[in-house]
Amino acid sequence: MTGPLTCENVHDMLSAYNDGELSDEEMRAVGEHLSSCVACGAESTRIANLKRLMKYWEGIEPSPSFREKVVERTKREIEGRRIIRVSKAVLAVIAVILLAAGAFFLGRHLKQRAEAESAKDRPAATSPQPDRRPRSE
Amino acid sequence: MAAKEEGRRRRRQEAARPAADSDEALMARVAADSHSAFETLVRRYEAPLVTFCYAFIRDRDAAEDLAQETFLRVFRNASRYRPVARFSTWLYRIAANLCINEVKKGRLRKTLSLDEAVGPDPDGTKIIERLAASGDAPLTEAERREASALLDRAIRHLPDDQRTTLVMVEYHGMPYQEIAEIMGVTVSAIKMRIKRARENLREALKILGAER
Repeated sequence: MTGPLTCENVHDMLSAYNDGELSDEEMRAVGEHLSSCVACGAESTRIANLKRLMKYWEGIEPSPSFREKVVERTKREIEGRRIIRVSKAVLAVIAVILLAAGAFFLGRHLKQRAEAESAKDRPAATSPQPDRRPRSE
Repeated sequence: MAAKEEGRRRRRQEAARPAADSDEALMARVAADSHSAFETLVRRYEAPLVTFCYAFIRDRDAAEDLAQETFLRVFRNASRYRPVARFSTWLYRIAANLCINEVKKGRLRKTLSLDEAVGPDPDGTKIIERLAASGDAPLTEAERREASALLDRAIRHLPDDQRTTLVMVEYHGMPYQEIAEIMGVTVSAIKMRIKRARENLREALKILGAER
């Protein structure tokens, strides 16, 4: 900040000054200006009075059922999450069982097919063959 | 007055609160599915949050609905919350986004004029003068109620960005930096908004008869 503040500068800074939102240097400079300027001092007092008045604004008191509604909705949400977790676990168990059963039946099927194929390849070995060797008497 | 005092006290209490009871510690417990920790946060923030939403929406029922939705989102996203920013900043940013979307939809936009807000029998008392004359003496209960109702009318009349900024500064006691983070604007913009908000509030109060 360079040079003394003008009334216009100070006017722009008074709101932030009353909220304590200026830098230390600015707070000091505005304070010095206010101590010697009646018009800016009066304006600052008006802002301070407005701030005091604002303390009487009560805002909005939530209705008595507000908290209950929020808590109820979140409890339902927790219950929903629990159901989803349980459902996921049940689905996971079912999936594992189905996979195991599938693997078992697939294994058995493959084994049976392999046996059938090997049986098909062996018929000559099992039927009796005529003896063609010359008989020596 | 309870909501207002709770809102103001909150910030002082937050600094004095033991670490285990801080908002951030409670959020860590919420992420681990602690419903009691969540209830503590709801109790702590219900009045400030409903008032915050009201500043955007200017409708009590809609403000409660949006505050409820904000709490639900906090609950659902608890595991994603990282305490790099204050919990309150995160909470109010969620609420601000919901409120801004709601305002954009236009369903809740109300056009108010001070004549409508005042009604047929404006009060006409000079509360600011009485306040200035009374020094530090507190207002009577009747005067407090009168001041609150008058301020409510005047605040509702302000443009959206000025009204929300004023409420965050005066009711929630937020520093400009935090407001800038919540609203996604610069601190300079907040300075300008609060300056204009006070100028317009004074004009509105003059029309309402509270200030000459």
